[in-house]
Amino acid sequence: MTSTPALQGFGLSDLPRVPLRPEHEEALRRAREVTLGEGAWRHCKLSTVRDLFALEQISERMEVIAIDPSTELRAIVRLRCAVPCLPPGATDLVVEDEVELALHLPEEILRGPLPGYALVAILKPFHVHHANVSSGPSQRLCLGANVPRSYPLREAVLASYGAMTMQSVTLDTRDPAGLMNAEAADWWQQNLHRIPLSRVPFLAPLTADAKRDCARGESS
Amino acid sequence: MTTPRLHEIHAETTPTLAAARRLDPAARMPAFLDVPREARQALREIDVVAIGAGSVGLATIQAVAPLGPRSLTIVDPAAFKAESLLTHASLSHRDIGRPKALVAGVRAKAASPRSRVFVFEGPFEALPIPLIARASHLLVATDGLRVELRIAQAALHLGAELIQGSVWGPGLVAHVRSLAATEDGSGPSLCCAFTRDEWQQADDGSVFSCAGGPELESAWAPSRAPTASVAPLCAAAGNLVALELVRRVLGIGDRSESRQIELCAYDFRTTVSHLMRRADCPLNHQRMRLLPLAGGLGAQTPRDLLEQSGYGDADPKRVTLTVEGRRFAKLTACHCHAHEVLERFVSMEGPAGACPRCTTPRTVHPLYTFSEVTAAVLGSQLDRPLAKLGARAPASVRVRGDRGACLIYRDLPESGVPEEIAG
Repeated sequence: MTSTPALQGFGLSDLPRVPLRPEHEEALRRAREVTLGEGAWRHCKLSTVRDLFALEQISERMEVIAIDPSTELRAIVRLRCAVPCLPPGATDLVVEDEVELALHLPEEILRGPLPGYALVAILKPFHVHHANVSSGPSQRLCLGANVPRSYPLREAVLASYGAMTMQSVTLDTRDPAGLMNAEAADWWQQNLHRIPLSRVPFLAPLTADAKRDCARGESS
Repeated sequence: MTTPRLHEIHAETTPTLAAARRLDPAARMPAFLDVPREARQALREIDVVAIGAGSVGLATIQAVAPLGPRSLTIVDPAAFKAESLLTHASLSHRDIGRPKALVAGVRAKAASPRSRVFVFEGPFEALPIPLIARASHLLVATDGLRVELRIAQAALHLGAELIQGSVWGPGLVAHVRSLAATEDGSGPSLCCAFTRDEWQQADDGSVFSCAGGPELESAWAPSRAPTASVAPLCAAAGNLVALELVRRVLGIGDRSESRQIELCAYDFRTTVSHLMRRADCPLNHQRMRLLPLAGGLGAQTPRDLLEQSGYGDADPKRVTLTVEGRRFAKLTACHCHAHEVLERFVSMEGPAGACPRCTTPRTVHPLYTFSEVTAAVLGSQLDRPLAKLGARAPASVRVRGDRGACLIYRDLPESGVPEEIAG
């Protein structure tokens, strides 16, 4: 993954003010042409598209790979972060350094909360070993007991980053909120010392320090 | 939660007296003041869906059935408990443990043998669309705000009038919200009257189980508090709902008015207030055109459906189809990155089998899987019957475009409930 230097001076609360790069402006213009639905829903999708582009511009760790706001909003984003995996046959955790997330924002989000696993699935890597990620081909990431009405997709990206790096994780097998893989939860209960995999914030640059931090999970 | 069950109550299965079957429904109908005589017939031409058969709902159903509606569908997923005896004036100990919808349905059929009475022992969200689509009136007596949101959305889409009954026990208040159906969606929805606290409750009251993974998506479990009230108050609320139905059907007062009625038994004061549409109501107020089809939808091609809904000549990028209970998967995803073309309607959750190349389980590709799919994405599949595309017998298909939405559904035949609707 090649990353474009992040725009400086903007925080997560400044997303609407982030000036988009020309290619993102062009993508947003195309999105306006193809976006279907009622006014409020169209507006929600377009502001989400803009949010994701702005998020990409202020963080070196995120890249929007594809986005389709025509009906439901679907997008694929790549995050540069530590990702815990346990491929078949592996004897120890393998920490990958990037993840592809499939994001899905259905119109129902305007009307009520959705299940915590309704918005994010992991396309790559395979065999993610995480208490909040379902095993099997769909690898859904659960962000909690539910996601509230009108939950912004940018929050789902940030929550996914927190989950992947294990800065935020639910391991209690008696608490169904967010738990998707009880076996992984048990494993992590026995390996609490490896949590978090990284302490690097989402907006931190991709520095050598950050990379060393990412490697903690592998070496410990 | 047990599997939802839909069935029709037939006269021979109820303890209906032979005399009741011969009854003329108009025998005791009063000559309403300022209501034309022929207007009374309208009461027997309504199709009512009653959601909730608890303390208020059962009273509503028992008051509505003798009016002789053309059809009455009763929806409730729960069974009566011993405590139900405390809030239901007409319940007996024999009803404890029996499904509420079934008890209410048997009583309704006994009171109105000529009405078609359907019983759905399941949540409103699972009620087959053909049963909702035929409704002229939705009567609501539920105890969950989230389900009320869904009911309110259905009423707006289908253009059904909605009357909700509820009680506030501590204040001895019976409460009715009565929503008119408007052609242009300019009227309020049930949720336009929600207070900030009610929205908060609707949001907080939704708990989804992750325990078994994604397959439990629909098994959300709203938190529900039992009705705390006295039986006569519940009965009063139910009767008020039924009276408001009579008013609306007979055209007494302004039919286009939406209003809220409160009867406080502390001082027997009644308050009536107008309900207005809220500009920021999150529900979609657009009314759908309804298009019942006599046969199954599986034999229809997407192009047939576009044409029948008036979108045959529309820009394929600007018109969409939503097949009930299915989503269209253009590509799959698996370990070998082949992204095999699938181009079929698949179940909402089911995996798409094994990849023929790498043999690992594949899933539908999230970027190329659509609950609502444009005609452009369907592309070469537009002329194949839905059954061949993986949607064997959908109960309904929604077509949406720049000129609004159209709901095409399998009509309910007179002969009974087809399997594809009963599920």
